[in-house]
Order: sequence, then structure tokens, then C-alpha cells
Amino acid sequence: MRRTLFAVALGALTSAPVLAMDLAVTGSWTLPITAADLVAGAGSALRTSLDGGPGDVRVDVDLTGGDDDRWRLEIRRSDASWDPDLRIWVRRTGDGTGTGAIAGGDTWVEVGPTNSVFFEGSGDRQDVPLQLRLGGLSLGATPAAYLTALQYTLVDTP
Amino acid sequence: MRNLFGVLLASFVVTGSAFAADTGSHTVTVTVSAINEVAISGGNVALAIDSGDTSGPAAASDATTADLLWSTNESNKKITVATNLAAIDFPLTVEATNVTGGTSGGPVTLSTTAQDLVTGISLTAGTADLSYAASATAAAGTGSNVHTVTYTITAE
Repeated sequence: MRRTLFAVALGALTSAPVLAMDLAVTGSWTLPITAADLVAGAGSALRTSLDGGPGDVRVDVDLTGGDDDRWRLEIRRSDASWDPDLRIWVRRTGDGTGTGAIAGGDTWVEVGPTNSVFFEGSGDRQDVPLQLRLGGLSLGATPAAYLTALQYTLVDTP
Repeated sequence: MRNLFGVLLASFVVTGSAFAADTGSHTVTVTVSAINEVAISGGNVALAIDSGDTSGPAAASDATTADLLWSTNESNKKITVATNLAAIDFPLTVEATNVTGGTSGGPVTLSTTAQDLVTGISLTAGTADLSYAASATAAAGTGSNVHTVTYTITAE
């Protein structure tokens, strides 16, 4: 009886809900394309790539289990009304703050329709700045508002 | 019995180590405006008619000074040309030659009415040489006509 009660109690403790680490993404990127983006005025094409600000988007990773609690951040694109020739890249422009560690993602990563690894870390990190780049632009992109969403997934890793 | 207890304990511990995930997102909006740009490079053109005879009009031409440049992200555009000079003593024609990104409409005798110079322009950048030709008859006498020639990119 004592062993049975101990096993039940132990099971109740270890099967309690795990506190999940938390991801917060702030910011957005709105990019107007006008005649000012022609390479050299009339007679020239549009610039093929345009960069956003170095911290247009910021990421916080909180509620980890400590500095040794490892995680990775994945990213993908979900198009709403998008020109198929347009491409998006993202990169980390700083480490943010916090006692945890962070690595990778400081060179341009193209964002596609399926999850790909962006960067990794351990412990809490706040205010990690991200920069976006638009590519594939041409005079073939007719006047319109093109919209997509970048979706980030924080994965707790062993 | 001890083994059974050990199995139960191991199963509960394994169940408690789930890999959690959280998500976040933001939007990217690219707003493309209509782009219709036309420009002249090379500067002003000067034609001097200073020789000839009574058998016919004398003429002068220039095909090397000025170029026409354009960029558009819309379809079915054309470039028209017009002069500001209503009273013309010495007829002036212009033709777009060596055209890329469009089709030349051939020589146009300038008037204050806009006329098609380059047609069939869509979603492209283009260039053309501008070939000017002026003529004068003896009856027209001497003098000068100063034109301000305007090129406009517009819908076909």
C-alpha cells in the first residue's frame, strides 16, 4: 500500500504541466516602393533589394528554465497577397540582452513557406533586433499592396 | 515488485519532459506605387540651316545629341511628343530610333498637339535616340524658332 501510494504521488508531481518558454515578437515592416527606388531614374530598373532598419522587429525569449535551457527559433512566411517573385530575408543585428546565450542568424536567412532554423540560444534573451531585406523587385511588380506574415516558432530543445 | 515499481517511476519521469513551443508573428507590407518616369539626356539641340538653293527646302538634322529614357511598372503605355510653339516657320520633326522597350512610331512633325512617338511600352525600362530634322524654304526667310519639346508617358 505504501509503495502504491508513493508511486501515485510521484506520478502526480512529475506529470504536472511544464512551464513553457515564451516568445514575444514586436514590430513590423512597411516598405513603400516609388520612382525614387529606380536605380538611376528614368531608363533604369528598380533596385533589386531593399533593406529595412536594423531593429524593425524585435524578439524576446522569456520564462526559460535557466541559462542552460536551450532553444531554437524557426521562421517561415505565410503569404496573404504576395507577388511570387518577391523574396524576404531576415538577419539578427544584435544579441539583445539577458544572461542566456545566443548564436547564429547574424547572416541573411531567406524566409520560405516552411519552417527553417533562424538562430539558437539558451536562457532568457530580450530585445533581440532583427532586420529584413526584400529582394526580387522589378518593374514587373505592378502597383499594389503586397502582404505577407513572418511566423516565428520557439522550440525548446534538449 | 521492485521492478514493477521501477518501471512505474521511469514512465512518470519520462512523461514529464515535454518539448514546448511558442509562436509569434508580424506582417510585411510592400506598397508599390505606379511608376511612370520619362527623361531626356544630352541637353538642348541646336539646328542651323545656313545653306541651300531654290530647288527645295534646306535642312539640318541631329541624331546624336539627345536620348529619350523611360521606366514604367504599368502596362500599355506610350510616349507622346508636342512643342509649345504654335507658329512654326521652319518645320521640325523628331523620330525615336534605336528603341528598346517599345516601338517607334516613325517621324513626327511637331505641333502643339501631342502625337505618338513610342508605343507598346509595358512593365519595362527603355531608351531611344532622338533624331531631329528641321527644314526651311526660301519663302520662309530667315529667323529662328525656339521649341520647348515635351515628352509625356501616358496610357495607350
